[in-house]
Amino acid sequence: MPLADLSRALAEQQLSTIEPALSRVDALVSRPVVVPEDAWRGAGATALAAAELDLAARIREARDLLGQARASLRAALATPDG
Amino acid sequence: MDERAAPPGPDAPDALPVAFRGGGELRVATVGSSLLVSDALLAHLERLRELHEAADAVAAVVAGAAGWTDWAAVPGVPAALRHAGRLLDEAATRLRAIAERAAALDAAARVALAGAEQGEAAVQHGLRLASAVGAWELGAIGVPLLLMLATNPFVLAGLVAGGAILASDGGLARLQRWFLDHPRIITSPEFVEFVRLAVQSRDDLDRGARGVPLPLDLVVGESTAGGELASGGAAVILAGTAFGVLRDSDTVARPVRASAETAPPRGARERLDRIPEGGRVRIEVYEAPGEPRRVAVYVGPTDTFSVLPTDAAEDMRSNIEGVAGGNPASTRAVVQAMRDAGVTAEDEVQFLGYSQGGIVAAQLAASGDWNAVGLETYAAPTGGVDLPEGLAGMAVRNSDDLVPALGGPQRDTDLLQVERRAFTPGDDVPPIAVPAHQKDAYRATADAIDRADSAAVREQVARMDAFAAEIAGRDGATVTASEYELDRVWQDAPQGGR
Repeated sequence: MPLADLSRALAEQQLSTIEPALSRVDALVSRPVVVPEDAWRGAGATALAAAELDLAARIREARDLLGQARASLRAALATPDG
Repeated sequence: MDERAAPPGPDAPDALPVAFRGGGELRVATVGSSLLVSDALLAHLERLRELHEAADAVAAVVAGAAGWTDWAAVPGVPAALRHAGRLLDEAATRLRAIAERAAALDAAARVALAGAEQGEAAVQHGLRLASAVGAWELGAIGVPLLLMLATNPFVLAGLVAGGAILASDGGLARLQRWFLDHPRIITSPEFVEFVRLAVQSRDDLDRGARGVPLPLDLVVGESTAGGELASGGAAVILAGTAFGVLRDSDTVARPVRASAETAPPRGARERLDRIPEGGRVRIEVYEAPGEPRRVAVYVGPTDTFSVLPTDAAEDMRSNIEGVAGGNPASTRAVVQAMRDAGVTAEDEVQFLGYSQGGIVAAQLAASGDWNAVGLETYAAPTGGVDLPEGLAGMAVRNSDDLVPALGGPQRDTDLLQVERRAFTPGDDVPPIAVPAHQKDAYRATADAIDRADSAAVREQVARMDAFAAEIAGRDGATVTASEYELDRVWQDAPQGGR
């Protein structure tokens, strides 16, 4: 199989794999960041809220990276020799 | 779509009276734990665990996709593919880091909770110790002092005069009125805790009065925990029967109503509403071709608080005997009703009850005589009932209701425990007897259960719902409901009505 065909087939497979992964990460991005302050109280609630916000930011970054990877794969597949 | 039952609006037919619409947050002790934590906190921990698991799973998928081909090592590959490969690698690394961080947070929060549980256990142990010492002192010093004072003619005359004034001048009624005018006195978690400790320390008082040395009392108290209810109940019944009250009798379950069809209940509120009035049991039988029969037994609360002989099986003697772990007339009468309804030891049974009905329900679920698969109790003093593992359902109590505290501390951890304060400090407490024990106060708590966020509570609600719904939804299913009155039968005494 010519290299161009092989790389195209692999890129298509990668794309079809990361599409559902991206949907799952999208769901994580829309996950509500709720820290029940009454329950944790004081410093515990503050630390947990900060950690939750940090996690939310990291999830958005991972989603952006996956989105960029998907765009690159689509771009590669769109080129005639991709 | 959220399939949980929506809470009734203020104008809905089953809306609660205004006085019962306040209250606190739901607190939950999961199976195997005695630490009560808020439903919101449990839900937060569950979300962290879900995030950890989801991020871990996605990271594995992305890392797998990235690892198929190292584009950088293949000559002549388009730059876009090389770039995509690098991005996928980086995304997988970031996702793994998210999973690890969520797991660390979840673990840290659970360690903090475990520490809180140990702290709570230490506090409870300290309170129990202080209460035991206090009760022993009262027995060792207070009882002889009281006897000495009572044999002093001047003190005795004063007591008699005081009692006469209290009785003749409407003093007792005024005292009762005062308690009704100040419902916060008995509607506070602190008072409820006091009652619980007092119940637990009854034997310490007894041993103190009998001259048992304090160190020995504490050792004996630890090894016989739970026995104070049995011995206390037996003593009260023995004393009562000597004066012709709190007597026992045979029982009978009289069928009063039967209906051919009924829809299965959905949610805690509907189940609580299905529990009949005092002195009755409702038995629902769900049958479908090829399926094991399922039975739901709803036991009503105390019918009469009279200590005199009446026709009611759910009376004061049954309350005392039930809390003491005996075999009360109410439980015996419910067994008769179940047999009359054709319930067998093979049928899967779900027991439900409110107040004394909760004691009966817990006793039958724990008896081993029935194939109990679920138990849901409200306002029941069942802390000492040793339940089997694996039951669906929950024990629900308002933390400002003193009635469940009469059963002593919660020793069994095989059933989900759910608590809520019926009246928080800003709420108006209605001037009625034991406001937090009223069924409306528990309806509000049941509504909060149906709105719960934590999976721990929602799973149990779903399991209880599924019990009847699974059968009722089958082709050819039949549902029958029967109601029985739980009565005493006297051979030698005039019947005293209900």
